[in-house]
Amino acid sequence: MTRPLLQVCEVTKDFGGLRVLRGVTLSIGAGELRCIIGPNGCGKTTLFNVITGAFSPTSGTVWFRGAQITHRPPHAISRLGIVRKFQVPGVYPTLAVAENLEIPLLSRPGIGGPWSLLRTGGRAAARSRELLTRFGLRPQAARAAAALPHGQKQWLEIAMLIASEANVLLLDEPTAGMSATETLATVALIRELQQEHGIAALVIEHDMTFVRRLDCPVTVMLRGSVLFEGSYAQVQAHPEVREAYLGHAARA
Amino acid sequence: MRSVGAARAATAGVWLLLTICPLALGEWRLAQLAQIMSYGIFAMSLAFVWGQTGLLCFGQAIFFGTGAYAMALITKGLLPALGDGPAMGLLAATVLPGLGALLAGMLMFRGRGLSGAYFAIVTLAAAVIAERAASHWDFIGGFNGLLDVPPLRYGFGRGRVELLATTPVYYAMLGAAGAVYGLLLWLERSPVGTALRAVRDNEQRTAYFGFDIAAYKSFSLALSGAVAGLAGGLFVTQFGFVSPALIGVPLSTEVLIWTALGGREVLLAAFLGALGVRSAESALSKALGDYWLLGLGLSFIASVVIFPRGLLGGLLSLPLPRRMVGGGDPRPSRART
Repeated sequence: MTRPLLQVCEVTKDFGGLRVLRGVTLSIGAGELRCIIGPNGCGKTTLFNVITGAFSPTSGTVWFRGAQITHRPPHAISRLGIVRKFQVPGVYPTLAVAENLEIPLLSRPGIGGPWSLLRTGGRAAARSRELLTRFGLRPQAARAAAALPHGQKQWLEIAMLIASEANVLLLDEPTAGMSATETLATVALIRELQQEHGIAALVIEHDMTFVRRLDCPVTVMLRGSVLFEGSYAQVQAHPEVREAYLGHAARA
Repeated sequence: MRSVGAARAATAGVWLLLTICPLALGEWRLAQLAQIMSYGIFAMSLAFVWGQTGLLCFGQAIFFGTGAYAMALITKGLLPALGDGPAMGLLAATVLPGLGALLAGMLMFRGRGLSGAYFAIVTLAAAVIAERAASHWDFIGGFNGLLDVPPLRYGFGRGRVELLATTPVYYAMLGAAGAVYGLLLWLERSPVGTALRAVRDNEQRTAYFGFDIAAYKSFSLALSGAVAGLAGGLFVTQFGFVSPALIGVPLSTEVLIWTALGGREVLLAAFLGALGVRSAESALSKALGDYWLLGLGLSFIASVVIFPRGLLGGLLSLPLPRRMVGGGDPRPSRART
């Protein structure tokens, strides 16, 4: 078996007396997709915060490409190719669409501070125009991102994720607030990112239609631990999972 | 909607007007304008750190005042090791506050770092401390400050000529303002500028894209400090006198008002904000007395509430750089924040 790209080992996270993660172990290989589901408050987002360095785990380790990345700052972890998308559209509201796209294009390895950026920044321009065209955002290039309709904001953010040349995307409810058509388009896009760009993705999602369509391994979390791992069909058939998460909707 | 060229034309027009001012203005007014121009440079320094990077600095006068004191000490020959040349004076006036700001930034922004209101409060406290310290330090004149600071000179050694005629002084100041404007504008429109605005809009998100937030904020504060110091150094050559008032809270607050009124996101708007308010002050403060301050305060509040981009920010906001839009270049319509 090949070594996983990203590995979370026995991670525990306490906030004061509250234990939010209880020994979570999880891994994802290069170019793989995985959904994480679970009821609100089960620790999914906290797990993302630990992986991306926003929180240090109380115990346990996080590994990327065989190197330990636990306790590193977010910008250092991001430069390794672990890029996160937030629940709220993570575009920069007052920046123009083209400026939004320039940010991830500039974030290459070695670009930490302003001095290195001054030397190498100009190269991003052509790629930026290409992505704007591909996502149909070219006519809006000079508009403020805040002025885009919700769906286009999500597209802009996904274009930004592609631009960042990530190895692993951490997507926190990527289809929140999207219409059914937009949700399907998002499934196709994540698949395309995986197949064409070899980008792995860890997806937190509540929309079970989305999870079924994405057709990838599913991890079910409950009260801070991993309850079950398996395919969508196995998850649906698992009695505890049905009880804990799918609940009435699954029984109906 | 205004055409795309309007902002460019207005920007060019402003600089052209400033260039031909000596033809239209009398000696006294021109001298006044030359002196006010250092406040304009000062306002641009704040527009950079506040408008572009989102760091609301309540102690900007610390840098201005440090620059003014450095220039005064050197050109008065009180620091013999550094000579008494104006070039050395301006260099020290720029480098000293710049380095100070860099160190302060590295201290304040490391780790989780200070941001938002906490940064504003710390800088406000620093300005109070700086003013107190300056008025108790005898070497720099204490409460009375330093008098008889020589005017700008050019040339070297014994061949130095003092710049006394109004028109050359005016053009020296205009040149300095133009150079600062060019440098800051170039940075703003470079990828570094995009990164600074990204930090302003959403620090956390930008960190997740791999940017070292502390480094960008420290860089911005350092550059802003250096420019403010240069402005202070230039100011004192015309004012001839430096006192603790130049380093404290009142001046820090004033520059905030000029910058907000003009438009904090646009360098030239902030520059004109300073020029406009100071010119109006000399014309109106005698007529209106203390009501002038009341009016200024009210118009500041009005501008924050009604025109968050300032009175001139919209007019003078340049279109996106060509590298981003290629072919056509529609103007950016920034959202109100």
